[in-house]
Amino acid sequence: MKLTKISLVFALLLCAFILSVILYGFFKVNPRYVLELFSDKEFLSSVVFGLKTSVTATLLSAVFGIPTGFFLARSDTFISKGLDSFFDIPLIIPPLVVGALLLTFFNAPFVKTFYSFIFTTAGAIIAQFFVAFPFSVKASKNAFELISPVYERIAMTLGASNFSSFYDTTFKLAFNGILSGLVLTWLRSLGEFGATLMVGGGISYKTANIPINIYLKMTEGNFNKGLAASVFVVLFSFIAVVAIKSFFKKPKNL
Amino acid sequence: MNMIDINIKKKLGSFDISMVFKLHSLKCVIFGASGSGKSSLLKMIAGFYNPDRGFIKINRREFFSSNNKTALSIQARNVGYLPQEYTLFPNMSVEENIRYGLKKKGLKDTLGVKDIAKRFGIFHCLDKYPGEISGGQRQRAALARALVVKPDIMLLDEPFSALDRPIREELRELVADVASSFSIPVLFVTHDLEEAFVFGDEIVIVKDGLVMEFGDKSKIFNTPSFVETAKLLDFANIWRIKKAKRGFVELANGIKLNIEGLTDEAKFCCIKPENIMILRKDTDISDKENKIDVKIERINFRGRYVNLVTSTKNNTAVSINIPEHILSKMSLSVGSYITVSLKKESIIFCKEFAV
Repeated sequence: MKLTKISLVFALLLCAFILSVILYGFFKVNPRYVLELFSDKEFLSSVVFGLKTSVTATLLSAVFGIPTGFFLARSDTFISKGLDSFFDIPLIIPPLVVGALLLTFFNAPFVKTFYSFIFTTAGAIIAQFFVAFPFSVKASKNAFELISPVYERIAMTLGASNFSSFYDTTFKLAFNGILSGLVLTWLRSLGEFGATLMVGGGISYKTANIPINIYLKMTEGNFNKGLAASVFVVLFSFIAVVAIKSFFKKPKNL
Repeated sequence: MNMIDINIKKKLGSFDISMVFKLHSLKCVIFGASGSGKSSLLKMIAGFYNPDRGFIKINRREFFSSNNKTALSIQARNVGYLPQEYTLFPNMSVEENIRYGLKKKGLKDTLGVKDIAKRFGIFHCLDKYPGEISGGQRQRAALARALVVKPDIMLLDEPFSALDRPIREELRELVADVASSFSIPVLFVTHDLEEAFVFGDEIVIVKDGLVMEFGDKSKIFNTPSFVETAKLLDFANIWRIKKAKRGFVELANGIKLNIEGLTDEAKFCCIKPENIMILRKDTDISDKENKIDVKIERINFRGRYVNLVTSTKNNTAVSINIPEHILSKMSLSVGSYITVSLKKESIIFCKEFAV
């Protein structure tokens, strides 16, 4: 009981720190600048670009991350353990370094002749995917690990095909955990700056996402506009996460 | 006629399973300690994984044969499988769970899901989710789900171990009723001796991945052939034979007994604790056979009976089970000396198991 109370103090301190930073930004922002954002074509273009690239990067992460997470959860081999640690690498490397490495890779002759990724939307998507997909892998792995394979086997004894037994039981039971990972992946992609800037070039109206747009506003001396865009991003992300979580709310009986 | 015909070999890491047995009854029990390979056997019958060699035949249908290179898929085996945990799908209601197999197999509800639910006492739970009902109700529903698709065999892997005794007994009766009413053979895995004794008509005794004995339950329970089986079946008094003559044995611990039915291969003398009779000192005991004087070292209360741990003069432990009221009636306490009688017909002889 005493330990719970002590740990609550730490939790509240953490909460106070985050809230003070965010709320001070809200306090300082001029609402006029927030409203002006809706007529700021450069900003709106960065929102569209950010949404397009982050959603695509998240979909790619789902396609590759969910099966990978399933493999890591179900396999107990040297390979799976090695891969589990290997997929931490994108989380460890600073995004700017990821950008530099991707830039070098995309400049390699065998890639360049195939497709020119540099300063393109595709390049930005790959950069965001590289940085954010581990969240999908880790969350899927953790979610699948909580579900016993016995459910699938029982479903098979009841006539379900191999895929159907997986989908009807394991996937549906793990879905909320997987979804949390995908939400994190999306938020990470949406807020990605370093790698996207290096690979995409941060070209206004073309390859600048929201953080790059904010950065450009700030470096151009438009501090108030930059702050307004930051406040907008915080509100938008918060509303989006709450909406997604409520839509896929875990049933009480599970 | 029902027939479970198994002859398999499987290596699971460093654990070897080698099992050969045939059963013909509707109610069969696989009995053994935890980690003896019982559950692995059931999983191989269900097709969760296959043996390395051998065959599995259920009602003359070949589920697996290494010689014929047959290995039916889980779906094609048509087995009902009920484990101890993770039985019902938590994301479906009880009714959805029960109907799942019918939907997947494209079968008509010939047995009537609602009727089965009524019979199993879970009709009122049909709309509920597994997380909202009790463990006993969950197992009833899982049993109903397995039954409605009319499996060729029901494989029950310690399904009631986590439940309270009265519910366990009720469910055991329900399974026995299902086996008889629907003529579905049931293979019931358990490590609980009482459960094994009550449920099955035939039994397979498993130890360290090997089948010790199989066949008629009463015969094996009363006269096991091997000392390893005797130990599993609660023959707490197992003594090595030193010398044997006609109608007489001298044991390694010095005890001499008059006996009957000794075979040449017998290496051990075994007697169940409940078959040892305490003789009253105030009565004539001269006609009683195989009398031994022992001292009570410890009294263990086991609920339904009392276990006396006693020792002879030369420190041979003798375990005796008596009803609790005898304890006070005969004024037995730790340190008391008593005379016990080992009836000839209660003494059985066992050989050692050799692979």
